[in-house]
Amino acid sequence: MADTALLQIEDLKIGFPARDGGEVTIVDGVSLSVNHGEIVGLVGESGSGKSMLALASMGLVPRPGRITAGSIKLLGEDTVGLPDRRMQDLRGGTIGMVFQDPMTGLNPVRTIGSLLSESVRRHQRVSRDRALEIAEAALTSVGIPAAHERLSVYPHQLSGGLRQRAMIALALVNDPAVIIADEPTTALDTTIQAQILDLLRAKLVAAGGILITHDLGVAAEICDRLAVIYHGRLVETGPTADLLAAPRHPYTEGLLRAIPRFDRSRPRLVPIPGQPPAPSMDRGACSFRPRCDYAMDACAKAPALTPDGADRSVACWAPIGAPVLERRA
Amino acid sequence: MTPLLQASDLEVRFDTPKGILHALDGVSIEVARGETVGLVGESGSGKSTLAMTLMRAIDPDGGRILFDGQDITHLKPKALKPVRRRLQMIFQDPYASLDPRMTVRRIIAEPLKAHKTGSRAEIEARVAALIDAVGLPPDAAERLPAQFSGGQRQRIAIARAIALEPNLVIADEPVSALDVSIQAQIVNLLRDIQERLGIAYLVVAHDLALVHQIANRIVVMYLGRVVEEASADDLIDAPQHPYTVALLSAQPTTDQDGRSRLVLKGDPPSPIDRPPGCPFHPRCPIARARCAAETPPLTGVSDGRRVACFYPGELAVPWDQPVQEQRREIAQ
Ligand SMILES: Nc1ncnc2c1ncn2[C@@H]1O[C@H](COP(=O)(O)OP(=O)(O)OP(=O)(O)O)[C@@H](O)[C@H]1O
Ligand SMILES: Nc1ncnc2c1ncn2[C@@H]1O[C@H](COP(=O)(O)OP(=O)(O)O)[C@@H](O)[C@H]1O
Ligand code: SF4
Ligand code: SF4
Ligand SMILES: [Mg+2]
Ligand SMILES: [Mg+2]
Repeated sequence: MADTALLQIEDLKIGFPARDGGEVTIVDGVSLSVNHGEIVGLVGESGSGKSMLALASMGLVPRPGRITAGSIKLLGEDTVGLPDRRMQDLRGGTIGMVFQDPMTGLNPVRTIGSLLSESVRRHQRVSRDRALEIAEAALTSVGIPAAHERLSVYPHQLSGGLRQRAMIALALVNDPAVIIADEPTTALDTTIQAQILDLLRAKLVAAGGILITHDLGVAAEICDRLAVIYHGRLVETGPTADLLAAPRHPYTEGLLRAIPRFDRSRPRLVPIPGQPPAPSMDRGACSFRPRCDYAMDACAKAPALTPDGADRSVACWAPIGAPVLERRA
Repeated sequence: MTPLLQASDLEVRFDTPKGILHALDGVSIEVARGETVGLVGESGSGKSTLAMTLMRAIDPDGGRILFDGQDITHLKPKALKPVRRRLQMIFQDPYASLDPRMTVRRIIAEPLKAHKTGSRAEIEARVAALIDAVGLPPDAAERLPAQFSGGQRQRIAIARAIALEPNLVIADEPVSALDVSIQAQIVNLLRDIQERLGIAYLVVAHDLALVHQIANRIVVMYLGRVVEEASADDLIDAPQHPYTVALLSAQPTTDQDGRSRLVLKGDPPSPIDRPPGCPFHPRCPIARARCAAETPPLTGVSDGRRVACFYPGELAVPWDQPVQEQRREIAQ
């Protein structure tokens, strides 16, 4: 199905200059594709490289960081190294982004109406009035009441939930083929989060999208497929239900065990020992080795992400559930 | 036995440019010795204000705070000092709550010195023991907070909070800023400390599953009021207030249980412009005329259960079995 992918990231590497003059790799050889009508969840701990991957897809890797290898194909067109002008056409047109903090995504000194209509006019040849009509329709479609009046308010005049809806409207206003949402509900209350997840499910499924989150529960709510990232590398991918029911990578298993659940007996939580790695940690060995219960000699060499049964892949020398002989290999 | 902490009818009003903001509107709460009370609610519902008021960092406009039977509502700083020793706090942001220029040794030693608990050598030994008790490496003492991760900084804050072996620790979102894998480490640490020292906790958190995991009792706030209070199990198995039902139903889960969701409409109203009647009525799926006209008082519905709703228990959870039974089936 590779040729039908809306977004296809291949072997992507992102680096930042290091203090010693070298370069620190913070995203290391990630491949990920999004098909039409599919929501892919990118899950990992803080600092694992999720936002950098999202920003790279938008052509927005902050300087002095840069893409050092790989390709990002948007509807078949490689966007790595594309001139700024062309990237601006794609951004907000073919690919839309929702950020964690609506205040980063929405310019605070512009009204909602002018933010939206300007984006419309950048990507569509329409009159100012028509652009405002499209903007109003976008606000209505994300469930903002009194959309017409809301065109003339500033982002800070909206509640947290409405502001997040406005940002989703901005990401969607030109009917992008792909939408990337980076922690879109992390700053919201549980009941508002449920509203926004409902909305995102409806909107992302109509195109194709990536939902970035550190919360496996949130990903489980709306994603078809999950990709788990650790130390800038994908360690496991697969259909949501399969992956959650039978994680293959020790890190995924660890994340699932660490989540508190409603259980009258209150079993002790099982944390993952130690800390997530610093991006500069050496990549020669499996990055999870210092925290892994299953580590063995072979783990001194980093395992590659390898296909593992139907639609799944895992980067581990001894995936959980593999036959014992294989585990000893 | 008198409860360790007993606050009644607390009122806190803030004067803001937009008008009077009623942050706490008649809040009563109790914490018994050695127990853990969880406090949940939407952001802006007054949880932090309540925590700060109980710590005597905000002066209430009304109500009373009894600590171990002693009225501390208006105690002057000097008279408050012996109480402080027994009442400590941990904050959400492990970055902001530690002085960046102080070594970990000084941070943890500070309360010990302030309360003159022993000689220099004794304090030194106590700091080393605390560093060990919260799972930090021995060489942590000489380092600055900036050299630690979020989870480790929260361990430093915990070491400082338990240094004087207080009776009550108020923790405002102690693990919200941490990754799941680290959250579990800190939750287990708090539980171990409680078992060893018999400390009571009042824990503010927004993750209901996490609160249920650590709390004996849960108090739910909405717009400056307590709307429900019950044992942790009762609250989860049979929530009575419609807001609690919505909160429980909105909890994201990795259990592929196909559970249906009850999604509330609308945003929480502003505490400056509070709706008349029941504060939840603009969003309540079962609101009727009476709810917009009268405010339901917090009343006991059964032993240890209180709810502020005219129609408690009427909004059913959108699933057939208690959540905890569902878990069991999935686990099998
Ligand atoms: N400007 C920068 N210079 C150097 N390193 C950076 C820069 N920005 C980010 N990084 C590093 O890149 C890594 C990946 O960061 P990224 O923001 O993608 O993480 P994330 O997975 O989105 O984390 P979070 O869950 O905290 O949002 C981190 O280790 C971060 O410290
Ligand atoms: N110092 C203050 N001045 C004015 N308003 C405040 C102040 N502190 C808190 N508030 C307001 O009081 C309400 C309750 O806040 P808070 O206790 O922080 O809620 P929570 O911790 O439940 O999110 C909010 O509307 C908040 O904006
Ligand atoms: S490769 Fe080895 S260390 Fe890495 S996750 Fe697998 S078993 Fe653990
Ligand atoms: S009193 Fe009325 S509006 Fe308030 S929670 Fe109960 S049913 Fe809903
Ligand atoms: Mg991020
Ligand atoms: Mg708070």
